[in-house]
Amino acid sequence: MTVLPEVTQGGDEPASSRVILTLAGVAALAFMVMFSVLYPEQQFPGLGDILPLFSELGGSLIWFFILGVLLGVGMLFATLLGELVADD
Amino acid sequence: MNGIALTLLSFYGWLLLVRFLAIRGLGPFSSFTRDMSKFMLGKALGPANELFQNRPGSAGRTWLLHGVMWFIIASTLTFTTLWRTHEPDALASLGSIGYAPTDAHSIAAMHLASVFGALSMTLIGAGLLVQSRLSGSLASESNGALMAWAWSATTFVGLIIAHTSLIGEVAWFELPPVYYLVFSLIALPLFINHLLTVTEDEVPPVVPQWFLVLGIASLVWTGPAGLLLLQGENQLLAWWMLKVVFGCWLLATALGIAHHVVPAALGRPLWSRSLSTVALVGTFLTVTPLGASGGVAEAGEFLQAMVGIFLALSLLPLIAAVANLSATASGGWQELSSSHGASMTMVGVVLLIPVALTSLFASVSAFGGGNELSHIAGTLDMLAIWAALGLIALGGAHCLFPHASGRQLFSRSKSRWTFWLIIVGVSGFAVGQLIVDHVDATLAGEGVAEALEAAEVTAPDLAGSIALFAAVMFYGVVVGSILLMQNMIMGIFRGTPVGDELAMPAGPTPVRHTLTSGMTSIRRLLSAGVGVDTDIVVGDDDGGRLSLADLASQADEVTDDVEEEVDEEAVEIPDAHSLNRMRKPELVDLASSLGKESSGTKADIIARLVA
Repeated sequence: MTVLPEVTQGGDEPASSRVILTLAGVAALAFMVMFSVLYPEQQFPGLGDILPLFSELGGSLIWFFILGVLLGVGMLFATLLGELVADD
Repeated sequence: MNGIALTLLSFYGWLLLVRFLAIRGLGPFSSFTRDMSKFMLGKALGPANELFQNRPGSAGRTWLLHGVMWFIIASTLTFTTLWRTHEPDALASLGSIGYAPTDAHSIAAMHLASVFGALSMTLIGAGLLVQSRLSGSLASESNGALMAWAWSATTFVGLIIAHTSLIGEVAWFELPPVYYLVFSLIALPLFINHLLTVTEDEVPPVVPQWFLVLGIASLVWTGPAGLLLLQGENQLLAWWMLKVVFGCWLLATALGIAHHVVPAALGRPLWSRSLSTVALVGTFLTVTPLGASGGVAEAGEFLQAMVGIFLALSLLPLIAAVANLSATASGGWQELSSSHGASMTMVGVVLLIPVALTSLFASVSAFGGGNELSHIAGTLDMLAIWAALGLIALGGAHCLFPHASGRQLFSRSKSRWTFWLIIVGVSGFAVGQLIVDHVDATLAGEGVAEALEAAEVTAPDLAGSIALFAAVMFYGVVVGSILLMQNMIMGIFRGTPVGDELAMPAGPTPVRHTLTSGMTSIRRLLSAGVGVDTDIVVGDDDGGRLSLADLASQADEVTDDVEEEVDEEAVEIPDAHSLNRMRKPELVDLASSLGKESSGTKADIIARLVA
């Protein structure tokens, strides 16, 4: 009888796992969009409600998206800088 | 009426002049003007011209990088504008640092960044690369690259002006008319660059080149024509300028790129010559339905009927182009699906039909009619920009950027994500925003508010929630643009060199490949994974093996034989009647092959040949 270790870590990455990740992402997004419909009494917490550093930005959800854009643009600059100084 | 007649005459006169110049040149003044133009594009700029190397592809590469950067800015501005229709105070906190745009400011900035920043720059970049690939090289790469920076700086200044009180109310031309003259001035060297490239080439221009040359000529025309708007409010002129920018500039250039990218990516020629000619001529001779938010409040019956006819006729070149490109792509779906750039271009081409058809109804209604579809006109324009023309532009960037940088895009996975994010994002935005437009228009209808009040019913804020959905879906375009930019930047440094990538098969090389009877091509063999060392087993009675290297040497022998035959045939000179029926480039080739002078008119060359 084969004895498996108590914890196993698979190295494979099946294509369907990406489908599940995408579906999970869509479900999470749908929940966020539908939050105010399902719970009209409650406001979905904005970036300023979660991180006190951004409390002056207000409670709008648009800041999550703008933060994404800023991270994306920052990633572009980091990529450019990294490629320029790369020693290869 | 006289004003618009003069405007139309000047526009079509200018296009005819450009066509004449591209074919005939300026006769004895040609060499002088060519030298002068080259001087103006190069040395006359002084040290500025030395900022950029005159390397092949440098102009197109600079334009494409700037264009995709503006795609990120424009899509972000569009996303925030869409969000603010649902939540007007979403960005109110930025007022503390002085950024508090009104709706008019946001829309003016969005229009400028998307049309003149993102779309124009990407299309110009792809157009320059198409031109250099078809003609061998551009007249001046360094000048092209320099103009990209000038254009980008002008757009940035425009973005600042769009947030001031200088903006007007002309749809898509909200900034002062003088501002658009700057774009024309920057487009002028690009136009001369295109024209010089075409005229220096011995082969006559093909359809994509005509689209590009006439397209940028149209853009050059809009600047001086726009100055007429300084005389005061002129709805007719503003409407015509909008149609020229959307139809003769953006659409024409996009079609030029699509007519090159799709056949080039698939390795097969365009399906029909007549359909491509109809697409070319029709695009410039009809009035495009794209740009549906432009309208004229009052128009005479005759003018209204003529505009309606020319708007309807505009579907002819669009259908011709879509049918031609679809037929070219049919049977090559495997190659098409393996190139995300070509797929993106093809999706954009196909989307032209529904967007144009819907815009046609809105445009006809807006020109002197009741403007019953004005509530969806803005959304249709955005779909024209982001769905149809935007996808063609980004597809062109995907396919052509590797030829400019010399390296493939870094990651196919990122290309796939870009493709799907933009397609799904634009589709979701279209569905959501069209629902919002119709619901808002219905609730704003005459008597609806009173009826709801009388019935003591409060309309649910359905449109608000769906507007949020539309904005969130559009965020996919923002992320897609960022991914494309990252893919391009990483590709410049670490992408597979283009030559190596094309020489090597994508997958593991099989040791043996069996051929059945019939015909095949080297391209098909390469796409089947055959490598240089693969043994190709020919399935005939005698059997036998050979490798791709053997096939290549056989192909060289066949080519040599054909060249010898051509040389032998070229010694025979046709009679004068046959010579008269030949085209000028053929006569030039014949004269050159016989070692005779090939300059001058067609009659001069024939006289030398028969002498």
